[in-house]
Amino acid sequence: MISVLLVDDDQELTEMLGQYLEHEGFEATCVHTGEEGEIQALTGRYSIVVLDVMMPRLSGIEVLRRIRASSQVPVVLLTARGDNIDRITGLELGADDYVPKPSSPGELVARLRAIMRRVQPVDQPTAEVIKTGSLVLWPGKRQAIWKGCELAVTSTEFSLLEALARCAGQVVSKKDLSLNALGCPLTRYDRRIDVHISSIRQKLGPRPDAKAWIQSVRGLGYLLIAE
Amino acid sequence: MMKPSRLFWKLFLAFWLATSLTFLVGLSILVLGNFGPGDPRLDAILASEEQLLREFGVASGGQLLTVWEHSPGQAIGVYDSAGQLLAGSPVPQPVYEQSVISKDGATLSLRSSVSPGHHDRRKLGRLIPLIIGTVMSALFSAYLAYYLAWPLAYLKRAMGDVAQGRFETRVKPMMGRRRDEIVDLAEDCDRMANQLKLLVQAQQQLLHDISHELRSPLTRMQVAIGLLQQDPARGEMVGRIQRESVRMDTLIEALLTLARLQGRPESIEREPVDLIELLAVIVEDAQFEAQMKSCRVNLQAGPAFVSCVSGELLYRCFENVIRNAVRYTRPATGVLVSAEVNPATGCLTVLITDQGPGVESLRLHSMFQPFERGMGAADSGFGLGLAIASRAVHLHGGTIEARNEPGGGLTVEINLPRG
Repeated sequence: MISVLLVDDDQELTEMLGQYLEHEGFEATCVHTGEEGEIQALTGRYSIVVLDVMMPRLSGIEVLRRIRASSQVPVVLLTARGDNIDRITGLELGADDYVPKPSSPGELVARLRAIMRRVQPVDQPTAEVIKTGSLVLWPGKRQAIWKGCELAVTSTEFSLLEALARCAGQVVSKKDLSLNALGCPLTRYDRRIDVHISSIRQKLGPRPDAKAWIQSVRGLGYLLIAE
Repeated sequence: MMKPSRLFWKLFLAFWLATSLTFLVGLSILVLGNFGPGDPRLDAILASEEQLLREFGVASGGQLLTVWEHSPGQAIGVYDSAGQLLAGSPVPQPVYEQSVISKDGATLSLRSSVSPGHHDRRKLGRLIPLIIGTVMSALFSAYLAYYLAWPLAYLKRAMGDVAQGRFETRVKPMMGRRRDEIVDLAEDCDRMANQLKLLVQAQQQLLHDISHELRSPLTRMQVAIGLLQQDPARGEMVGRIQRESVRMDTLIEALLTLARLQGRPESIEREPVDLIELLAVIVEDAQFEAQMKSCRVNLQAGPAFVSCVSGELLYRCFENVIRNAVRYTRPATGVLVSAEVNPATGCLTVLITDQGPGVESLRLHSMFQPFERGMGAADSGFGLGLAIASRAVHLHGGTIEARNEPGGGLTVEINLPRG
């Protein structure tokens, strides 16, 4: 059973959404303030957090910032449709995905399932190790070691890094990255991959020649430089 | 007739200075030119002196020089060959010298401190004042044009910026320490830019709020539909969808009212209305709602106050404020509506006092803005009621303000002039 934490100030909505998710086989817990959402998300009891951005007092963006300070629990943001700033800020802060409001609850369930598939790969041998240069990835444990230290990445970032590392030194198209790492086909004007990649770049730091470890190849996709 | 402005005085003084300087300089050069090079009188004197010396001798020449009226700078002297002054005044630095054989055969030297003119130089000399005058006038005009034109260039650029939506532009700081109507205009331009910026921001905020308010019921409807699709037996979801659509309709209705209230005071239709009677009707309606919380609404009012107003708008205004009071007052308490006419101003003052939690002092003003909701009242309204009330009162030339009562509770005071 996947346990979902719903954080939204709209009590009627969370109540109905909770019922919907339970019918779909999730276990849903609802809280209605940002403060409570932060406390609950950090208990480690939930596999995934659904966070509304527009909340009075403590906004969803701020709650996400606080969660990410100490936890990599997957977070899906509920953003207003067309509010690009919230969306980009959210992804930059380490949200795994976003669902615009209003959209059908089926859409949310699909996104939740896609993220959970990435986080809990069913038929993956836990012993598999991907090594390229100073990067070591254990997809089974979703653990990343970079230059001998643990790299704090969100599960979406891990999936992207994994897809790039499997083909290190080769260009991986954005289409493939979207399908393999985000679990959904690439749509037009979709900036999610670019935002996640820029966040990974910051975490990897620059190369000795001051270039980034992940290069963007215009019109083709991204490439992880192999040592 | 308008009072002459600073700019007028500036223009006047500048032009006056320019023209009078041109005139004075030209005139003085002309006058000086009479005694300077090309002075015909000096020519004549020198010629006569030469003739006198040649034909009558030094004594006669001396007499002419004694009676010659001359300016202090001019001197003519007659010297002998040894350089001894014989007649006239001493000329230490002669610019003109001519030797003359006098009547008695001595070689004399006639010296002048100012040179007599020649005919060609005299013509040029006449043009010089004219040229100088023209140049001076051009210099002044150029300065004047520059002085007037440069702030206008900045103003033009600032206006262009505003027209393109860059409301941060400020032109006043460019004007330095200048003080005149152009600077006032720059100040007005800055104020306009700022006002436009605030208006656009308010409009964007309103649009943002409206879309958020419309989205919430839509999202709930989407989830209700999803639940129905999961389990068609959940008939209560249909009622939910219906409720949400009614909410959206109410919101749109309220927004349209708000938009209508944004017009000018002349745009509303007025009719004579007894406001006391209007209040009595609203209080009676609110009584029903209050009874469900075991509350009471009491009206304290004097005689009829008939005013020419929009009855519909003021009905909505008082209804919103009174229903708000009923909503927030504690159960089993009373809401007091009192109306009295201020004898000094002839205004009607309506006080609506509840016995609720009151409002944080920071929000006493902002609560009249659209979409400002009370705390813990997420489902109790859209936050448009007080905004509508406030605009309706202002359209009638009145004032509305809220204050917390010392013993708890909120009082909304509405002042309406007799229309």
